[in-house]
Amino acid sequence: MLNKLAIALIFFGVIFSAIFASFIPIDWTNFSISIVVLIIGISLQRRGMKNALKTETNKNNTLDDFREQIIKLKKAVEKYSENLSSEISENIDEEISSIMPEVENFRFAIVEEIGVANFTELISVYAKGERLIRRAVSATIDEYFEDAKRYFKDSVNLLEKSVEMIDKFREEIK
Amino acid sequence: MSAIKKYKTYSDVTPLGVAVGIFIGVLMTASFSYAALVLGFSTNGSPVAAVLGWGIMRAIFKRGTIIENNIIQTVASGINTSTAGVIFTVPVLLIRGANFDFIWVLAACVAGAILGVGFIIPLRKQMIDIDRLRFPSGTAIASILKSPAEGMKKSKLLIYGAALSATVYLITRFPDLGLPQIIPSSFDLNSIIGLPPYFKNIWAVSLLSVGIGYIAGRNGLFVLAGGLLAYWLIAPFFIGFNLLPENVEIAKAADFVHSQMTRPVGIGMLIGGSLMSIVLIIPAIKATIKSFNVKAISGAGSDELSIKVLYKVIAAAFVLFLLAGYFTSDIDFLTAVIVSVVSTFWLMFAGIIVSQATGMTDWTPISGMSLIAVAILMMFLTPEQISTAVLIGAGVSVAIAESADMMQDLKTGHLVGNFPVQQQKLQLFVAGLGPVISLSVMLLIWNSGGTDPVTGAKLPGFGPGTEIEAPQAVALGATIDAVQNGDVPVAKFLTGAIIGGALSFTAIPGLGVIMGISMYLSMKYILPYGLGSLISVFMIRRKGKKWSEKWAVPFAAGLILGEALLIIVFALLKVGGVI
Repeated sequence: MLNKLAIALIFFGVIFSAIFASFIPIDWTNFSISIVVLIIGISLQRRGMKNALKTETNKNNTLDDFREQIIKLKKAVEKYSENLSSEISENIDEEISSIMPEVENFRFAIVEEIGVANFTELISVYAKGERLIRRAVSATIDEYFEDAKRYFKDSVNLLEKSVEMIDKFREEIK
Repeated sequence: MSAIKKYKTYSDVTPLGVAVGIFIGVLMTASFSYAALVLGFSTNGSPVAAVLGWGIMRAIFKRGTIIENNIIQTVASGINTSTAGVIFTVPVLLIRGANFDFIWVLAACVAGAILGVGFIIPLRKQMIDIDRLRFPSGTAIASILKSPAEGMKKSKLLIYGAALSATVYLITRFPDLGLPQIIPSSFDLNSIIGLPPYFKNIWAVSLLSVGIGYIAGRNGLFVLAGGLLAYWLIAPFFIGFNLLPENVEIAKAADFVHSQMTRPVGIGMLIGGSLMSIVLIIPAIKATIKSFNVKAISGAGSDELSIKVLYKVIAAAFVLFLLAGYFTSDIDFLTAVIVSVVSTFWLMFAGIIVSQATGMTDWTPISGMSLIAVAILMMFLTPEQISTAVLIGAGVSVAIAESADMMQDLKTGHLVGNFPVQQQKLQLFVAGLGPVISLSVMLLIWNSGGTDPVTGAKLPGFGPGTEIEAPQAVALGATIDAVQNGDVPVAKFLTGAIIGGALSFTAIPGLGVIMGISMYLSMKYILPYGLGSLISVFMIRRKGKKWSEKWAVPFAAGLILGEALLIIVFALLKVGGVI
């Protein structure tokens, strides 16, 4: 209910503030009222999002979920670092993509849990590992299997480091 | 499809790859420069560069990898991307008969190119690794790079998409080839459904826009929403209730609302939205810079260009920028310093705005940001010092374009696993080449005007009254006149900035930027783009995101590729005098 009200206020706040800003000369009084409505809507929306995170049913895409997905990815990467062949080169991009965590979906919840600076630190390390995995995929598609295995192997260290960082942040939260 | 191996290890930067990239970049810059003078817009050459690079490497040199091709495409687009910045600004100096030294114009543009790349590099981690901005063209190019080797099914989808959009574009250009018109380049849907003309319902026949909209996905819907707000709500509201100034003709009312009322608010939203986004990510930027020189565990060295090297490059480019401004007009050194510092801050900020807008929507509001740059500079300069304002404005435009292109290429690099430091070094190395080519083409065309048979006076090669109208430069000239007359809608920018800034705090990151750009753009491209986004959202709901990424994105990339390829072909035909 709160979220619907917030969206309605944002919707009308944007429309009317844009209309009153477009007047020649600008209708400052009505523009100011519209901006206040917009800001109230945004405040309600942000409060609603924070409340939603606190309820158990909405705790998706949290730090723990991210950790789980990294471990799953690490297991797959370890497998590829041992065994690669031309049979899998056509499908490897799809297979890796299907298990790679989508960072954008985790952002809001994780930032709420550990703060933006820690999130940046964590993703910086994870993204380096991710890049090596993507490079390994490109090398596999191009059938440079020995290089691809090496990239996969190197990425495992970075994924492990990401998990260690998550564990450290979880300890700090406790 | 197996790669043709010529290396012991997986290759990325090779002298041949860089040379091929430069070759493609120079060719594209020459043809795009001419097309931008004629048409008033430039296009993203990266998809074409990716395909040409792959073709040249495989067909002629029998080698090449995905990463190597990413490098070729980075180099080519790094050269080509400065075209718009040069062609939208510098011609105004020639058209207005201003005194200037070509070499200092070149210096300003080269400095701008280097500053644009240098300033945006520290934000790569934020925009790509952390914010995960979509960069639709960058995503499409990654798909193009991987498709030939990923199996026939994906390649076929890419080819079908390219063939379809190229065919449609070709048919829309039939009149240029002396053939009867079958499909127009745009059509007014209101002539069919009978809405009043002030509901702008003109659709560009552009599958490229549909493809970009598809890859942009949900963000594209907000662009569509902003367009509908500006064109289908605000414009009819003001016209329907007769709230326009009395001297506005009804036939031109919709255009008046856009140019004088909603567009300035949109530009303000872009600025306010970006400013607030930057404020919100300051803690993240600090953490990013802290981690800048951390060595990668892979042993491949640092992932990013060293911040110390960046500082030195930026300082050198700034000095060049300052000297160009100082030696162009009769201005004192202090004014030159102030103008250079202000311009450098603006180009850094505008580069971030444009990169964010590109990342979220694929639209690059370069011309708007350039017009503001010149408007800002004119506040510090006299009407006699217009050459300095335009010259620095040109540098700023080039810088903004380079910023957006660098980020787009880095996104592609991220998706194929390239190390950013390699792309960053190469783009810094080649960015200055583009202005050399663009300015040479511009001077060549200017000098091709011939002489008046009666008076013997030299005739302009482009500008009003000639076959090559240089519309963006003419628009810049009009802005300069408006600034000199004190006619700048500062209050509208401010209101827009307040709305855009507030929207940055909603649950949708960057909403202020997205809505701002949609109020700034022409509706005829927003509609097919929005259609692409609607299809994307619908297909993801029906078939799932994985299906969309696997099958629909290569097809959408093909749509982008086919039309972009034909745009270049037609530009070359124009250059060659065939059409």
